Amino acid sequence: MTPTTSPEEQLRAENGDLRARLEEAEETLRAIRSGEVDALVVETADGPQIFTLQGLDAESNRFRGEILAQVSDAVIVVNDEERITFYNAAAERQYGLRSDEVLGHKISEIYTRRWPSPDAEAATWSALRERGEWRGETVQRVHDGRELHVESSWTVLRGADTGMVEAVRDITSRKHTEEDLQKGKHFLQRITDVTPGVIHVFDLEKQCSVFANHTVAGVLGYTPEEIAAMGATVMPTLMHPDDFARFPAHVERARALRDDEIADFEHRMRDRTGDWRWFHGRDAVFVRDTAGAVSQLIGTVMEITEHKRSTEELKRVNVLLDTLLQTAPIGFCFLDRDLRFVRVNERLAKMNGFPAEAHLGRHVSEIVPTLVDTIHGVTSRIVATGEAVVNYEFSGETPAAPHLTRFWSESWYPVRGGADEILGFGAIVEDITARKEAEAELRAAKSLAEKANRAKTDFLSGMSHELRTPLNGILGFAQLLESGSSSPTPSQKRSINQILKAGWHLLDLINEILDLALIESGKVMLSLEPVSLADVMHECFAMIEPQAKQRGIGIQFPRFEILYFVKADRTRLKQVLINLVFNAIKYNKLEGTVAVDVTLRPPDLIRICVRDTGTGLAPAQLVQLFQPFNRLGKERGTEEGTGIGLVVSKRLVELMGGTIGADSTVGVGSVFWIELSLTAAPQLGVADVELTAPVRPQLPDGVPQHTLLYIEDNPANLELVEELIAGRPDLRLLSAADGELGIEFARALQPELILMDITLPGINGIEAMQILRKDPSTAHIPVIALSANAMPSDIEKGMEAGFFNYITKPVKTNQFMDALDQALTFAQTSSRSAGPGRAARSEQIE
Amino acid sequence: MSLLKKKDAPPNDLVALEAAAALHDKARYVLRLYVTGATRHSTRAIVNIRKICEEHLQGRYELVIVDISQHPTLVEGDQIIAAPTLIKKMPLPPRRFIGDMSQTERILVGLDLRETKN
Repeated sequence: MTPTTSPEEQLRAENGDLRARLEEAEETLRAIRSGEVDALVVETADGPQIFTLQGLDAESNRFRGEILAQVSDAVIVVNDEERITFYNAAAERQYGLRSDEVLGHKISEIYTRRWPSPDAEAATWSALRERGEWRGETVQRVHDGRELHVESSWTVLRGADTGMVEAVRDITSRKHTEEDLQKGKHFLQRITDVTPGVIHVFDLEKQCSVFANHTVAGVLGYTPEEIAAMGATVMPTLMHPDDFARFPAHVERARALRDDEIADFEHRMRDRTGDWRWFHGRDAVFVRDTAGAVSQLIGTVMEITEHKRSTEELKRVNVLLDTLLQTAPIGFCFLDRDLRFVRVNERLAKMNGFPAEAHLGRHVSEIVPTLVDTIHGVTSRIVATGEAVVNYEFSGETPAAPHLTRFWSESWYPVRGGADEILGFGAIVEDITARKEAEAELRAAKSLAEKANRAKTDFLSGMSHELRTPLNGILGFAQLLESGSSSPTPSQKRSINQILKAGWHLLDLINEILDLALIESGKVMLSLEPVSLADVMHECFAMIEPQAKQRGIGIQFPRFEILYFVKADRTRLKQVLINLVFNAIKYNKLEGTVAVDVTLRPPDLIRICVRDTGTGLAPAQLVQLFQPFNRLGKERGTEEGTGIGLVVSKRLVELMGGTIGADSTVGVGSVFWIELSLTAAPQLGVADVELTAPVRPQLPDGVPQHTLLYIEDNPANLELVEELIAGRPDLRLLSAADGELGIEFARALQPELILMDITLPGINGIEAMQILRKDPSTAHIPVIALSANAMPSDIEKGMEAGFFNYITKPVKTNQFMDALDQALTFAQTSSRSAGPGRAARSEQIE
Repeated sequence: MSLLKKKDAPPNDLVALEAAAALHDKARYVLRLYVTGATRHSTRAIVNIRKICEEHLQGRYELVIVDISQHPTLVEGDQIIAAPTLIKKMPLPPRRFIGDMSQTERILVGLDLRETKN
């Protein structure tokens, strides 16, 4: 709807308008008059001109304004209400707001402030209150979201216009740089702190440590700060005086370093507890001054205390080893792989004949040319097997004694390096020339002794044999005389007895000597069988009793409830026992006694003791007992003895695997004992054996008989055969206890038939038979073997050797008799053929 | 209600409406402040006007500050004689104030932000 205004209304409106404009004009005028305006606008021909009404300091104000417009710092002035009254160009740039946008607004609309801490903020306000100014760093959160680090300077304005002026410098980028720098520093610090070695920077001018990482605290016990606090006294305080004396030289070397070079310095430092530790320092150039001279060094320090100790220890051990090498009484040397001398001790050097130094580096061929081949052999073996060669004998010459062959015992071993490869060889050398000579002499002496021994034995055997042969003749013929068909007269009988007695004694002696010789030369053969102790004892008793009675000595032999069997040679056992008992009788006191007893020695030995009541033997004499020909002073005594008996007994007992010994008390008597092994009862085909007299040829009277010679050492066997022959009146039995005697008898007595035991003392049955067969005077006599060796091979061997027949024990009577008859028949037929020779012989005897 | 109390002029529609609106805090103000750089009165004028605007016209004013020492030709649009001068362009009627604007009450009345006691 269109407003219709009346003229009155229009008038009123115009009035109001006019009034308003008038009021404004009045106001304008008033304002101008009261100086409330700054400028007037004047219309000129060139357009509106502004005339400022600032007064006399307009110029200086403008000048100030221009300056403020150009300073790089933002300058903002606020009134007491914090509204901006001034805002310069730099502020416009800094905050991105124009002056006209900003003026009159509160400062908080541009930015808000943040202090590093509430305390810092409080400090700011109090500074402003007290001093009216403050300078510091804050953080501004700008209206557009940026955060600026700023350095602000605030000044309180007094005078006509109160408020505050703030000059703000944006230090954000500087702050960032600082932060980066700080981060870098921290990073570096972290690196240095984590590094296990000590890192330090040493200033050469100030002679002090300007930096040390935290590791130094762990190593020396001083913190980096404490180190720094020591200033120039750090080195003299901590470093060992001897090393500090060398320090200046190190510093000089450091000054001369190029940038890529390192100077090393081993030194001792004292830690907080006062202990000295070894360090290895490596320094490099860190900072040079403007003239290019080294101003600071950066270095790492590694602790080497342990390492140093090990090295010292190693040195010490080396010195010890060296001393050992030099003073030991044997030669040492080390060669490299090419066999050149690396080390040699004095002793070996002397052995070789060159000074020790002259050895070094030289090849073995230059030092000991004659031993090179042996050395090559030994070292090659070491390389091939990887093992040492121990106690190898070298022989040769060395330049020390050019024409003398010497001997050494050497041990060579490989010297290995880290990867187990052989770097060289070590050798230990001992001169054994003297030892070898001694050995050679010993061997020569031994051989000589053995030769002598053998010569002696051979001599004895030979001599014995030479002696026995005629003796056997004497004995044999004397026996014949005694028991011949024409009986001797009483006086003849006496003479014969004397001959026989003397002859037997001589035979005994010779037998004993031969025995000894045989035993000593190891040629005696024992047949070890289970032997009945009881039997042997009985036989000994029977033999000894007459002798004892004759001398008035009482004998006591043991009674055997149990039959003991010992492993022994029957003949020899008897021989030993008779020897001991006879000695006990001989070397007894008047009316003395001899007691023989037997004691068991578990588990399997038995001891036979022969006790006498003689004068006894002193310990010194006991020792000499079992030596040959040593009769302990009884040589001039009344008793006869050979001095060989005990030695023979000892040897025999030992050959039987037993032991012999003697104990004695002077004035009381002596005990001679032998110990033998018990054994089980043997398989004898014969019942209890009757004791009979010693073996002597027995010739019954009257009946024309055939003579059977039985060569047998075992009485048990002899008894048996005797019994068997007893039932044959046509046979008379002669016996001989060993082969040689048998041979003599055969030659002398010409039996029709010979029975030969194979196992005999002295020569065995086979040998004896062969001798008989070779001998023309006895070759015709059939020899039957009688042996316990019943193996087919034995029989075959025997027959091949030349026996007429071979009878095995135990004997079957029929078989035995048949064999005898067979042989006799043969003998008669052959004797007829051999007639003349034999007949001649018989006549001779008659 | 207060509208009816006004006795001066019969409601010229736009003016009265705007005046009424002003009283009801709904009108949008467009103000121009002509100043001469950073001189004393100019600076004070800026500060004072800003304050008034923030305190009384929060969110509904547009204040343009014109520095006639930098841009002298801009005086012609509003026929400026002296600086500082504040021109209220909207709401109508236009009004003009001169000086450093320190008489806050007078300006508030002039801007129809206060009731007069005529």
